[in-house]
Amino acid sequence: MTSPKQEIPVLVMEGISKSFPGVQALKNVRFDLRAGEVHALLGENGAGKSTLIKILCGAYRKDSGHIRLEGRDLDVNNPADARRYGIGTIHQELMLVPDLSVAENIFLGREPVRARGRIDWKAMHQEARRVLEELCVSIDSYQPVRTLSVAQKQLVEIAKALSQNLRVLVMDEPTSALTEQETAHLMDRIMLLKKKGIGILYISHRLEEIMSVADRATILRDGEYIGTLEKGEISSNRIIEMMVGRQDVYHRWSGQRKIGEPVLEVQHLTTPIVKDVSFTLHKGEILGIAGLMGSGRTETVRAVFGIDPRLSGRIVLQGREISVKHPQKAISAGMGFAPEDRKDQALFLGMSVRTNVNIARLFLNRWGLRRLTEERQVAQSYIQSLDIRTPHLEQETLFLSGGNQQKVVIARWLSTNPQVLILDEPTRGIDVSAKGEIHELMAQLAAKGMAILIVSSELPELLTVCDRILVMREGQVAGTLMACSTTQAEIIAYATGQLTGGGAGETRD
Amino acid sequence: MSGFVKTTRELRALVMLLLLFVVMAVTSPDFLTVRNIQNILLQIAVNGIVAAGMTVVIFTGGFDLSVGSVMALAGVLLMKTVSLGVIPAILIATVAGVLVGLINGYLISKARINPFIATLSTMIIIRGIIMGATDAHPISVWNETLFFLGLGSVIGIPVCAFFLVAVVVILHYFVSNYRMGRYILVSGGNVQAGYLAGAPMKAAITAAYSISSASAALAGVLLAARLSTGSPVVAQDAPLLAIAAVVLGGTSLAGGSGSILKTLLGVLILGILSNGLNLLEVSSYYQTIIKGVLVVGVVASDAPGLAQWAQMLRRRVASARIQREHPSLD
Repeated sequence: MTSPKQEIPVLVMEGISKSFPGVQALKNVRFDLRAGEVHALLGENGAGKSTLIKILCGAYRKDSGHIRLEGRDLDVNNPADARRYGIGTIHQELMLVPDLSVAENIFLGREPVRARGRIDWKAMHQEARRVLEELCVSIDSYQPVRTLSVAQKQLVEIAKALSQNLRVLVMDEPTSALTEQETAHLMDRIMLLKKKGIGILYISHRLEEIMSVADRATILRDGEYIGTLEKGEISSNRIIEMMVGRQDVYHRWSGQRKIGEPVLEVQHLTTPIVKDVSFTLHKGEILGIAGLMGSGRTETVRAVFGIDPRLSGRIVLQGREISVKHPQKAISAGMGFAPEDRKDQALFLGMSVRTNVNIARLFLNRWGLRRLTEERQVAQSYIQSLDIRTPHLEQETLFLSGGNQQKVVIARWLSTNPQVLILDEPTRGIDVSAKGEIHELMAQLAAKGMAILIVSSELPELLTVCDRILVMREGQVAGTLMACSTTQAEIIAYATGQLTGGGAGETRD
Repeated sequence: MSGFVKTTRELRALVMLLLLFVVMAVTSPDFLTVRNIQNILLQIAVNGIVAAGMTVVIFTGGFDLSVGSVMALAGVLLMKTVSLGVIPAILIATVAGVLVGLINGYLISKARINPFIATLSTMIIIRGIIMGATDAHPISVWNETLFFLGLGSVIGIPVCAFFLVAVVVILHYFVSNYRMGRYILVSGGNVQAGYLAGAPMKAAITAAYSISSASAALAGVLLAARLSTGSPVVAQDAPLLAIAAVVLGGTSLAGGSGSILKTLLGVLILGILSNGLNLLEVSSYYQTIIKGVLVVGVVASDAPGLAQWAQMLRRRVASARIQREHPSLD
């Protein structure tokens, strides 16, 4: 398989260092890329992956080091330079202009023009169609990008890369918003790019994906180069060990939790998306909700918390039916909800840790003014008990890492002393060791008798932390499984409709 | 269904315009006369040119509050320099407008000042400069060519209206078919994407504000020509009227989408509405109320809150009907 030509790297980055005020983001890092290979770049958040690719694509300037492309030294000062050298990037947040057509997005910044500067629309659409055909994608080049699905948008980004005669393509978390099936399609396209001899720098948090797609993997930790694994050496344990400097991050909760009486009963919940969902959550239990994107997981918990309107169904908390028409009612009834998008839906990024912790339950004096002493005490106690790493109470949450931000959100709900805590994707975009800490925290809370409902796209996570797992498909409950006896394959079978009805966990209700 | 809703939304301004036209033609015998149509065209030309330029700025996701001051500046400069000849005077006024646009563009794209604050500041500063320079006195000059530009007509169509059509067509063609025009849309749709693709976003934003100011200067020239007077106090409400016309036409204030042709529809709606209300002898004080309600109504019909409310209402009605027809169910 490996021809000698493939062994010569197209791209070499050597001795790359970069510091920001107060932080050395990269220390003497190296990375090389061969033609037609997928080379994964791995590391926890803050390890320096994004700094490295931003230097490569011209968004940051390096302090020292060389970048060589086919033996030539490159001086990349801005994104236009990088593109001229044949280095393309597909960013995690897709860089498309919603109201422009597919063709215009593919040729953004390189529109073919006719003699007097007028854009040559015919040539542009022709070329766009050719590239889309080459990718075996049936998208109309005239369609506005706004109307496409996330997966289709991803393909437009790939078409953009393919049309530029690239040598190097950087893909930053390309599958984070894709379903399993769409991910498989994307992998086919990646193979096509490989065949064309394009070297691909691939970043992903999903280790299984890395193991299937990557030819090599380089691991960074704390801004330093740790090592490069060849195809045969890549295994999730090796990777995790190199990323965190220790092994065993995902381990199942070994202790037995005492699962008590029912706390939350959801009966025949129906919304425009969710159809007739029923489940029971017990004291001290962690119940997971699994399912593909769009299966109604998030919509279910949003309706339980009173964010999305219910069409019918009952929500019973501790034997009493409650009317949750508004999150305020859910909170006063004893529920807490950490939504899937921390930054947009949970945190006030410009406000302090203290305010963010106290916002759901303000301490007011008799004049309606905030009692800052109590706020400080509460915030301080959670900083200690949850090990929130922040320089001080007044630090704006914007400057915390993802894991610490999530802990602030959890602290906010713990301070309201809820009976039911709902966590939607609590560890998305959080590095491996912080994930472990959040799982540990959930286990501790459940051991103290809190009932926890967790939505997650990561099956290993659900298998690690949950007692039972509810699998959803097309807005309905496809099955309920005991976490200790099920497997990823079984969950996927329910989520995709290969298995239906019942499941072992059903007996508990 | 959703396709139908979408098309009606696209065509809403056109439907409103036609409806208004028919209603006026039926209710007022004076409406469909050559004289009145000429009058309408004359009335809308100045605001229309400002609104066309404003649309280009709104494409970037910003807006330009300084257009009224630029109009007054252009009018005063025109009258002060018309002794050099009409064409040099118009050129001077327009160049002054472009300069203001470059300043706005610099403040917004390079210094990254919020468009509201940047153009509010230039609006106040320019108004101050012309008030100071003229001592707040209008400058009246009689010039036959200017009078022709302002109030004359060719084959029965006001000269001003030709300018309006020319500005709309040129700007629309520019935005639709030239790279810089597309980049103006890109800067409002996803400025980061444009930057990373190597498209000159700062230049595009600056170009948009220059176009807006140049259009405002031309409108100021036509207004001064019509009045034979360059007044330092005119057009204080011009930016808001222009934004109202853009919104009424259906261009989103969020930027990145829309059309200058739609703005022309918005301008026509506002123009015919005020003409019609005049013919119907509605007091001009009440006219402003009607226009305000119209603008907020159009925007509200797109707002998510209203759509949600309507959906809930429909659902209530449906479930009430089910309960009525099947009382046994619950």
